[in-house]
Amino acid sequence: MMKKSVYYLLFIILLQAFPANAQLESLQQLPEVILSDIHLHRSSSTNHVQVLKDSVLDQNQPALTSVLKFNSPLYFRENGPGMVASASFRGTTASQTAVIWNGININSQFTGQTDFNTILTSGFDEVAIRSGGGSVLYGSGAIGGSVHLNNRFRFNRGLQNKIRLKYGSFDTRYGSLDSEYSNERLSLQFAAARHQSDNDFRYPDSDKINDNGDFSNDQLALSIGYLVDHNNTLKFYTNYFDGDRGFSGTLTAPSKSKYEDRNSRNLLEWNSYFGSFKSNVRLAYLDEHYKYFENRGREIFSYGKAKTGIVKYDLRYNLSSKAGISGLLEYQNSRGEGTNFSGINERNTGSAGLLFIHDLSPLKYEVSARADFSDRYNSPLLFSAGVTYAFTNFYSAKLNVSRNYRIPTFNDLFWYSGGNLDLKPEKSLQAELGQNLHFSNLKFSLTGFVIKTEDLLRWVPSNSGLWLPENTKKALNYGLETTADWQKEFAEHEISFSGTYAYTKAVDQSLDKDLIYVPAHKITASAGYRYRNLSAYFQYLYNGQVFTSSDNNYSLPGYSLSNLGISYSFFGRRMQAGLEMQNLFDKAYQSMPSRPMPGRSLYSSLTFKF
Amino acid sequence: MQLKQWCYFFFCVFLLNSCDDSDDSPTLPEGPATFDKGIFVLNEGNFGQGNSSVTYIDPATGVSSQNIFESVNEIGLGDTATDMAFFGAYAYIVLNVSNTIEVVNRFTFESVATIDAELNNPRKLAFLEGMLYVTNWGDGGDPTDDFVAVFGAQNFDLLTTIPLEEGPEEIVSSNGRIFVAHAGGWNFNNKVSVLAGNEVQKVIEVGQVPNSLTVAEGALWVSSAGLPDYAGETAGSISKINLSTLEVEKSFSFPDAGQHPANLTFEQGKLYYTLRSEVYSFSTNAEELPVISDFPIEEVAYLYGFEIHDGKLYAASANPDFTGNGKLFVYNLLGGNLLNQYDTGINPNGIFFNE
Repeated sequence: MMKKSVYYLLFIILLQAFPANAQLESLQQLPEVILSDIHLHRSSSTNHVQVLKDSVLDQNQPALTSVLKFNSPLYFRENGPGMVASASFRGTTASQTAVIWNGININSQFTGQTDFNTILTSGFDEVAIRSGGGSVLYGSGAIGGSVHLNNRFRFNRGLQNKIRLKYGSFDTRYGSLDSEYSNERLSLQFAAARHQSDNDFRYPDSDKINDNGDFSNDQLALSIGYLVDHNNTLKFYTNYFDGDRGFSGTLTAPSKSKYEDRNSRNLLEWNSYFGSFKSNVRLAYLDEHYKYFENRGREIFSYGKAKTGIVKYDLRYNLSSKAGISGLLEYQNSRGEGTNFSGINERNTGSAGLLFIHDLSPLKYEVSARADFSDRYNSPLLFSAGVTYAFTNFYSAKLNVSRNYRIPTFNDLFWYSGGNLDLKPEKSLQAELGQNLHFSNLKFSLTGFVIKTEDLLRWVPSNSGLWLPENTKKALNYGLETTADWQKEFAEHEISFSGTYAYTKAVDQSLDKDLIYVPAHKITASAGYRYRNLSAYFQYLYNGQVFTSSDNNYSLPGYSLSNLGISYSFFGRRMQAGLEMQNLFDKAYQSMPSRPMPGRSLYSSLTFKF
Repeated sequence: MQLKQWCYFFFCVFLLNSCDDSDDSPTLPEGPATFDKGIFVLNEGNFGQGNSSVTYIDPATGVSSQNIFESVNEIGLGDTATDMAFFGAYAYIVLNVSNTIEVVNRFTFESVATIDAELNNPRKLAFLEGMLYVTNWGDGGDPTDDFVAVFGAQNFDLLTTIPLEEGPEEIVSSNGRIFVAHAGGWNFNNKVSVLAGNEVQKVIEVGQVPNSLTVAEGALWVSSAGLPDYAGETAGSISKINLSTLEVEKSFSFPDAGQHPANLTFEQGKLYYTLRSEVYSFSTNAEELPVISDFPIEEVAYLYGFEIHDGKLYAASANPDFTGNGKLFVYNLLGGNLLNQYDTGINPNGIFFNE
């Protein structure tokens, strides 16, 4: 898809018959024109970035959780399908994985994490997983890694629409509309999706059903890109999520609670190019709002609301065609209020960073640093330094060292009973060494990492019985990640295989025990096959055993899961009908104690393109 | 084409099987056949995780058996156990989040019945005249739906529910009456309700957040924690209620707002209580609270359960992370030297003597 849009842009540029020099310049500007998160591909060459393809996103719709669970090294713990899902990347905690929407960090101000079941992948053109530290570029929480949700702009493609309908087990319904219109200068994208389910599956090996686990999620997204002239572009992105769900009961407890999420994200961006300078201004406004109903039959609830304004300025100067330096300035203001806070609480943060990239092919290196200034915490100086070396045209190696952080959340700072204003950010120092093999059909990566984290935040009971957050723990994480992709086309057949494997060891150094909810092994594998209009895929996931108690006396067993899907296209691929079976072998498993996940389930889908 | 497709399929199936973990059910510890003449420790477990359990300790052999309910009955006990009590041959266990009361044979721990009618956030229980009284918060956020549910103790039939003020917690029976301390649930309260004949006979005002009740020499003694610092910290207090007049006869306030007493217990002519991890005692006719503690219970990481029995003090300690196993420490009441310690389940909050 990216390739295509590059061609289209090239086409426009050729049509406009710029002087040769300008053409070259415009080509270099391409990432800025089509993508908002300019650093993900330009300044992350010493980190491993895994980009999930459209076909992969389609297979695991609708929620982000299922996409990442089956296609990345991220480990998820879920309170059931559609319920709260948090990620662990390289054995780090849920608030040490940053979720970045078009370059903007959208982790909750209250919890510091993202509930991956409150993001539908519909409307995003690219989901990418960037392993390792990224706090210089992406701020708080980019310790284990970051997950990127991006929109890309395409031009001169006219009107295109896609409708997708899905129906299946437990009265699960999904519908989405993706529309796109573009001419030479304007590109519009609109996406609307609804995902709902009664989610009342029978617990395997039990006569109980998953009670009160129904959910209904709506997401609306709009992106507008406008090429003002060949030196200026304007972009606007907005995304609104509205989710209502019951918090399901467990094997041993009923439930009648309900949770509502209303999140909106807005971003305005202006790029301009003059001489050797590239300037990028971004204004973002994020709004998050939750309501928790202990008893969904009544109107008594607790709530939290946070509004965040962000101003980001990024100025790049090309010293030569091989070297560039960028200055990064950011200011962020967050205000939060709610049942568990007294009044409106506020946090102001400013940061200044410098980034230097030097391409001495086959060697390339990047050095960056960032300082934060906040009225709520003292930040360490963050840095990242990396080098990549292409030994041959198919083998390269990367080395990256960085210091990253996670700032205390609104809950940590301001919770009415226990909020602690004396907290420090969690600090981590990490190193990784990666190797990549890239042949025409095969891509393979192997990355080893070490992360040392101190001042880990933890809520502990004080002597008076009150729970307080403290910077008490230290952790050491190390492990290996591998990814492999292979594809082959011959005659009319297309075969593809992709897999990931992660080995992770995460040790709580104060107890000398393994951290809870970190599997030593995680494997994902998928195989796809296409012949003319018929396509099929098989997916496999293995999550190893996880400890559920800090003394490592309690654990949940590992489990493996498989999905199988088949689809057929009609009318010149304008229509596609599909069938999908999840948990093919009807395995009983739990992601969280006392919360069985569903057995085998079946879904059918129809896709129309026009 | 077909062949290749199936090759892939089999490749994946092979991969699947090679990685498949054996899903053995956890091996259950072998418990003693009977549980008479020993100590039960009630382990709350973790909210929402259904891992409440009961530990049995045989003081004669020093052997502690974990998770005896599941060992005997082959199902889990439930979610967030908050109280346990005996009546006749039965033991009754309140499971707060499961909204149930498990009734077991107190000597074999075989399940007898599960009471689930008319419970909503059940907390603590007591018996009076063949009836089982259970305090219930109702919805934590609703101050008006709190009640005591009354069941036949032998047939488990619901007899009635009695609406009460917010946050009924501790409950004791004495002199044909039921006394309920209103700690306040999600809020704070400062009352003791007196129930007689299934009616609220009187509501007595005591200090803020009454957290333990004990009957001593014709009086009901109440410890009140006082308000925590985030609510405008106030010092705790201890009140003496005359059981005939139902009036507060005497009240001691702690001098310092940071003092929040708990675990008031009457034993051998003296009243004991704790302040943080120090044990204090005073006689029932004292005119002042003690200034110097009897002894510290230093081994306890987080005091979660407390009992005094036969000249010994039993302190249950939660694991500091609240996810792992706790411990039970046994001290000599005189002098406070540590006599014994035992492993328990997760978050032990109650100690009960079966004899």
